[in-house]
Amino acid sequence: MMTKVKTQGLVTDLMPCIRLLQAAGHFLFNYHADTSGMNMLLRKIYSSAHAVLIVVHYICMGINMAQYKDEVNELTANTITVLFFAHSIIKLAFFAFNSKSFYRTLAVWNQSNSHPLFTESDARYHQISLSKMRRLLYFICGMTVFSVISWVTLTFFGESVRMIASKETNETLTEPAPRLPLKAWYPFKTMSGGGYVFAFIYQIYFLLFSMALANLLDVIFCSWLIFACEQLQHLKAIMKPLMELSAALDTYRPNTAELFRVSSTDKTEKVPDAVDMDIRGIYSTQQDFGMTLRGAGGKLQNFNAENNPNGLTAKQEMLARSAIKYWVERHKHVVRLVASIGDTYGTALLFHMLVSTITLTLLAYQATKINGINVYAFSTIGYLVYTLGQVFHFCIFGNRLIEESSSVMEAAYSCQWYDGSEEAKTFVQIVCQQCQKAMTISGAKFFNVSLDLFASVLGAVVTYFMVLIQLK
Amino acid sequence: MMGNSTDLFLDRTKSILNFFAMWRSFEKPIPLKVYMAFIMTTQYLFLIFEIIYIVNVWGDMAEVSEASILLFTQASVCYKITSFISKTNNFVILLGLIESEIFSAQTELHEKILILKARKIKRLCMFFLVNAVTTCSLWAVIPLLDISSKMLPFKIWMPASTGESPHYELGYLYQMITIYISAFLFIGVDSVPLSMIMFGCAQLEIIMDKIGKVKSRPLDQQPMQRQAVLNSNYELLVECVRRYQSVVRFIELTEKTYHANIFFQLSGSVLIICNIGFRIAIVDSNSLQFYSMLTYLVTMLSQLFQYCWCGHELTIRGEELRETLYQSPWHEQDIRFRKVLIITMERMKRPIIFKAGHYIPLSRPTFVAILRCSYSYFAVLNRVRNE
Repeated sequence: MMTKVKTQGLVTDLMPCIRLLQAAGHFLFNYHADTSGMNMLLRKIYSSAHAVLIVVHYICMGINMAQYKDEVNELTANTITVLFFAHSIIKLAFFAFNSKSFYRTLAVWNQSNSHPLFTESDARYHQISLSKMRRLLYFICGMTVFSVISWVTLTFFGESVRMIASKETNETLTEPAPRLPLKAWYPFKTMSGGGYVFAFIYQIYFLLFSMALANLLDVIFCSWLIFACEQLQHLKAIMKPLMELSAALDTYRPNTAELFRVSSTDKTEKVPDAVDMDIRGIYSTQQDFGMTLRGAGGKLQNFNAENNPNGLTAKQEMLARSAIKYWVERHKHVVRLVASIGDTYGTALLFHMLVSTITLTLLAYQATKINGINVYAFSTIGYLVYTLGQVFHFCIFGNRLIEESSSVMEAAYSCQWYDGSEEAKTFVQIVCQQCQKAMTISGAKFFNVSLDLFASVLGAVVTYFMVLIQLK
Repeated sequence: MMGNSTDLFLDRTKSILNFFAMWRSFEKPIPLKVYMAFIMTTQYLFLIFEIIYIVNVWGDMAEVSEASILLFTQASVCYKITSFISKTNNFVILLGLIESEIFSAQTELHEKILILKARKIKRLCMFFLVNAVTTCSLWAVIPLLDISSKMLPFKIWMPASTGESPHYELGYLYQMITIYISAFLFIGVDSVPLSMIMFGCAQLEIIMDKIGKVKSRPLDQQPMQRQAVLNSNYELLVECVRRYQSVVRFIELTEKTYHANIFFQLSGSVLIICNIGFRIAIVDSNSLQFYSMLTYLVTMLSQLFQYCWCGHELTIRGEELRETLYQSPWHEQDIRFRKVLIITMERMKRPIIFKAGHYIPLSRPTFVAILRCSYSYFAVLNRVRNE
C-alpha cells in the first residue's frame, strides 16, 4: 500500500525535484513512504542499472576518442564531447559519495520557529519561494528536453563523416561515419540495420538521462538558494513592525511633535544679524543647549506611569522581546542553512568550474574554424551556449544570495531604530555587523559564486577567441 | 594526559633539528656549534659549486636547465637555515608563548582539538618528507645503473677531476650526503612556521568551542539567577576576547619571524616548477630520470600547497569564529555583553591573513596563481626551445 510519506521543511517544498532525481537514477534512497527491504533493493538496482549504462556509454565514447587521437580536428571535437558529459559522471559520483551531506542540508529547515505576529508574512514569502522553485524546475526540464530534441534533429542535417588528414597529400579526406548524435565505439556494426537502430535509441537515452542528472542537481542547489533568499526577504519585511513594537519598550519616549513645535518658534526669534558674531545671542534658551532632553522636569518628557511610561503591561513587553528573539533566531537559522549548502555543494561547483574552463577554452578554438551557417556552426554555438548557460545558472542565484544578505543591513537602518529602546538599538547594531559580510557560496574556498565569476569566465572565452582569430 | 603543546606539535621537528644542532642553537655548547657551522658550510659549498658550473655552461639551454634543477632549492635551503638561526630569539619567545597560560587546554575537548591539528600537520610534513627522500634516492640510484660511465648524480663543479676512483666515490658520497642533509633541513625548518600556524588554528577552534558554552537565558527567569547567568556569560566572552587577542599577537610574531623565509620560498617555487616542467618536456619519458623529475615535481608542489593550505585554514577559522559569535544567544544577554560583542565582531571583520613577505597572502587562490605563473613561463621556455 502506498502511504503518503511524511515530510517537512525543505523536503516537502522540493519533492517534485527529488522525485525527478530518483527517476533519473541518482542514488537517492530516502523520502520514500515504503522502506521495505524488497522495494529498497529494487530502487538500488534501478539506480545502479542507470549508472552502469551511462558509464559504459561514456567509456565507449572514450575509446572512440583514443582511436582517433592522431587527427587534431577529431581529437578536439571528441575531447569537447567527453568533457561535456564528464559533468554528469562527476555529479552522479559526487551525489553517491556525499548523499549524507545532502540529506543533512535538506533536514536543516525541519524545525523552524514561529511567532503569532509574523506567521502571515512567513507564509506569504514561503509561497513566493515555492512558486519560484517550481518555475525554475519547469524551465530547466524544458531546456533539457529542448536540447536533446535539437541535438537529435541536428544529426539528420549535414554529412555524417569523419575528417581524416591524409598523410601523403596533406589534405583532409572524409571517411563515412554512422549518422548518430554522438561519436562512439561499439562492438557491433552501426552503419545500418539493427545495430544502427539500437545505437540510436541507446544514445537518445544517454543524452536525456545524463543531461537530466547534471541539471537536476544544479536545480536542487539553486532551489536551496531561492529558499534562503525568500527567507531573507521575509526578515527584511518584518524589521519595520518589529522596531515599532520595541519602540514601546522605551523608558523615555520623546514627544516628537512638541520637540519640533518648540524649536521652530524659538529659532525665528533668534535669527542673528550677519555681522553679529555673539554666539550667546543664539544659544540662550535651555532647549538649545539640549539640557531638557535628558534632564528632569523639562517640558519635552512624558512620565505618566511608574514603571512603564507608555502603560505597557508585562505581557506586551514579553511579546516585544519574543519578536526580537524570533527575528534573530530566524536569521541565525538562515546563516546555518547557507553554511550547510556551501559545505554540501562547494566541491561539486569546483569540479564543474574546472571542467567548464577546459571545455570553454577548447570551444573558443573550435569557434575560430566556423566558416558559414552549417551543422558545425550550430553544434559549436550550441555547446557554447549550453556550457555558459550552466555556469550562468548557478552564478545568478549565488549573486542574488549575496545581494539579499547584504541588503538586510539597509532594511535595518531604514526602519525607525532611533525610536527603539537601548536593547533594540544594540540589536540593530549587531545585525548590521553580521550583515556587512555577505553570505557567499564558495567552490571549496577557491572562488565565490557570483556574477563576477561568470563575467570572468565569459571574458576569458572572448579573449582566447580574439587571440586565436588574430593568430590565424 | 596530553604532553605540553610544544612537544605535541614540534617533536619531530625538534629531533631533526637537534640532529643538526640547530634547535635553539645559541644555547648549545661550543663543539655542537662547530658541528652546526660545518653542516651549513657543506650546503653553501654545494650552492657555490652549482653557480660556478652554471656560469661555465651558460648559453646551452638544456645544460643550464639540467644544472639548475637544484639551484633554487639549494638557495632556499641556505637562506632558510641562515634566517632560522639568526632569528632564534624570536623562536624562543614563540615557544614560550605556546606554553603560556592563555593558550592552555581547559577541557578534554580542547586537548582533542590540539591533538587532531598536531596530527594533521605532522602527517602533511611526513608526506613531504617521504616524497623528498624518494626523490633523493632516485637521484642516487640513477648513476649506479650505469656505473662504468662514472657519472655523478648532479652536474656541479667539483674541485678535483672525478674520472677515476677513489675520487669518483668521494665525489658521489659528498653530493649524496649533502643532498640528503639539505632535504631534511628543508623539512625541519619549514615545519616550524607551519606548526605554529596550525597551533593558531587549534586555538581559534578552542575559542569557538568556548563561545558555544554561553548559556541561553529563558525569558521568565528569577532576577537573582538571571544576574548570575548574565555575569558568567559576560566573563566567558571577555575570556574568549583575551584569547583571540593573544592568538592574533602570536600569529603576528610568527609572521614577523618567518615571512621572508616563506616569501623567498614562494618566489623560488615559480622558477623551480617552471624548470622541472621544462626538464620533464626534454627528458625521454621512459627513463628513471623522468620518474625522478616527476617525484621532484610532486615534492615541490606539495610543499607549496602545504603553505597555502595552512595559511588559508587560519583565515577560514577566523571567519568561522565570527559566525559562531553571531550564533551565540546574544539577544538574551545584557547590554555589556552586546557592546563587547559589537566591538569584537568589528575587529574580526578584518580576517587573519598570513602574508609572506608582508605581501603575498597564503591562500588557495595564491596556489592557483603561482601554478598559472609557472605554466606561462614554462610555455614561453618551451616555445623558445622549439625554435
